[in-house]
This record gives sequence, structure tokens and C-alpha cells, in this order.
Amino acid sequence: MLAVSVDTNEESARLAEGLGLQFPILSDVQEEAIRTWGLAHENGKPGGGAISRPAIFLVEPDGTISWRRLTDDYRARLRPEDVLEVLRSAG
Amino acid sequence: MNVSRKNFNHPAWLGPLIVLIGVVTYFTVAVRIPDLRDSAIVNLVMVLGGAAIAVWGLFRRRNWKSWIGLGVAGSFSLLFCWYIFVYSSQLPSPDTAPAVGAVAPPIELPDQSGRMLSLENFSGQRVLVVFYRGYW
Repeated sequence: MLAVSVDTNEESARLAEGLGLQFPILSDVQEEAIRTWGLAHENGKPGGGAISRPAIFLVEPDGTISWRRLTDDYRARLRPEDVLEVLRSAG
Repeated sequence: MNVSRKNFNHPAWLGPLIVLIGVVTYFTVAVRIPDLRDSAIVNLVMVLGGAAIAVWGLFRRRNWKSWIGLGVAGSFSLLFCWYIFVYSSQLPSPDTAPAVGAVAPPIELPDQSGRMLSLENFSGQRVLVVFYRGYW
């Protein structure tokens, strides 16, 4: 599992430490990945700058995307149990 | 006899208070509980109920205090409804994101410890890639 946000790696380190997260949290301060993935929410950050829209992708070993979920309301995000269900049914 | 208490127009201040509690508890409490967060129903009931109580306060006594109570309750409840029903769904089009079946675009970024990682680091494995808004 890889998490991506536009936070700095210091912010992500604090988050990971605070929540005890073991997976890598990638820091996309330059907004590269959110643009190549077409997920940039322009001016989503107060004071300007893009942030990522919430999105989850399952990438297969051959590099293709086998499942994705983009929320249409950022308040209502996919719940962890729903993601686990997808992973279970994907085998 | 407690005259001052009897003369107090309670709905005029209780209404805006309930609205403000409804708004604050959405962002402090409900956001942590998915069932309360997604529908926001409990907070919407509080906010709209508080606004209705403020309207009642104005009907009971049409003075400047009641108008201020209604102004506060009304403006915060409108803002909250706008956030819930309009603002939070203002997201870019999903059409620009890679579709199912497409090849995942590259990612090469530093993780929280500063180590560069890319999808190639996970070759032979399935990877769940989670983009989130961040905490800035």
C-alpha cells in the first residue's frame, strides 16, 4: 500500500507517528503525481495550490489498474472495510 | 416571583447556540464516525432545528435580540447546508484519472523518511495506491 498527498514528508512523518502507520506515505509537494494521475483539485488548499482529490487505485503486478474508486463528495469517503472487501474478492 | 427569568426570550439565544453546537460537533466529532459523517443527518437536524427555534424566538418577541439570534442561526445554518450539499462535492472531473484497465502512470516520490519510492519498488506485487487530500 502506498499513500500519496501533497503534504511535506515532515508532515507525513508526524501523521505516521501519531497514528502508528507502517506503510509509506509519499510526499507530492511539487504536485507531480497528482497531475500525471489527473487527480489535481486546483486551489483545493486554502491560500492556493492544488491538492489531490480522494482516490484509491488497485495496481496489478503488470502495472494495470484493476479497480479504482473516486469519491464525488470528499466528505463521504470509502471506508476501510469496503477496501478490504475489494481486496478479498480480488483474491 | 422571578420576573426577569420569565421575560427572558430563551429561543432567541438557544436557537443560535444549537446551530453553533451542530456545526462545531460536525467537524470535531461526526467526521470521525463514518455513519454520522457521510449523511451528516444528526448535525443537519441540529442546525435546522436550531434555526427553527430562532425563528420561533422572533415570533415570541420581535426585538433586536431576537433578530440577532435569527441572523446568527440563519447564516451559520445556511453556510453549513452549503458546505454539506454543495461545496464538498465540488471536485474536478473524474474523467482525467486513469480508468480501470489502463496502465498506472508512474509515481516517484519521497516517503515520510525521505526515501525515494516508485511503483517499480513493488514489482510482482499488487499495490493499493491511496491519494488523499492531506493535512497541509
